[in-house]
Amino acid sequence: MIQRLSHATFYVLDQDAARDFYVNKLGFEVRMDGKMDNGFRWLTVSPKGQPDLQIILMKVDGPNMQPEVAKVLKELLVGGKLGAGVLQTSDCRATYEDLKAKGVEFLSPPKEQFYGIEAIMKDNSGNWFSMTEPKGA
Amino acid sequence: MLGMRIQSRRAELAMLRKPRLYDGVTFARLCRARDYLGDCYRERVTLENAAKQACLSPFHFNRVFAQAFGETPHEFVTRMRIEEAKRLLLAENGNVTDICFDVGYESLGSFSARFHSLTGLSPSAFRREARVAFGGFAAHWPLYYIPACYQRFFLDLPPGPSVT
Repeated sequence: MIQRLSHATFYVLDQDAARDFYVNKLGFEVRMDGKMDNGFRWLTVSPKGQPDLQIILMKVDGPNMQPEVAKVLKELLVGGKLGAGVLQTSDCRATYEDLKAKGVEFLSPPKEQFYGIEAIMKDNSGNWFSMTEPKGA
Repeated sequence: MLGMRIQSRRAELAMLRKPRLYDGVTFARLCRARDYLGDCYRERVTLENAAKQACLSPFHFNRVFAQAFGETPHEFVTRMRIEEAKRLLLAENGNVTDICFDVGYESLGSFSARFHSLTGLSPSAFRREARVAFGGFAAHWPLYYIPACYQRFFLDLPPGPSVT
């Protein structure tokens, strides 16, 4: 029986910029940052409250990625077609103000939903996320 | 009687690990304490000093830290130490005793026992097996951390050693 998700991939346009965004804006921490001979960079980050989940910030046009596939992926990212997941916070409104002041782009401000308070944000590659304060948090 | 005590301890641990979203102020305090532990894990760190960073009593700090981060402060420090030891064993050629002291252990016996309990191998066996599995080192040490599916897709490497 599968019990956990340990790694998940977010495609990003530029790994340095993505590292800066996730660490300095969202407050994640770097778990691994290593480079291989062929230029492949293994860069993973985790939210502070979830050290056992590594999010791989994978470059869309890295080694072994065919140019035509990379082009499609890039278009999907830039076009805002890739929903990357849901981030949880204990206070959606305060986190929204904090992140907005840091320059994070939001597609929608915090709104009451039946499951909590939710805002929609984008990373600096174009991945969008729901940022949710679950009811009862 | 012993069975009941074990069950109650298990329930206590499960409660302790039940993830909880703390309010921003508490979480920021806990993060400050965690950053302190992350900066000092190579030295002798006490629960009292870490709790002071969070302005909480040691007992309360231990409990809320585990609920916020899924691991106790002691487990966090141990994880940091063992992860750094693994990196040093993989990427560098220092001897095990030096690595043990570098990552904050004061006794080789405790370091080896902890390392073995978390990785299933002694530090020397870990280094030996990793080097056999991933070929000439040290530049290739990140390979140890890259799951085989990613190695296959992005690095054109066959998946790592398999067990049949």
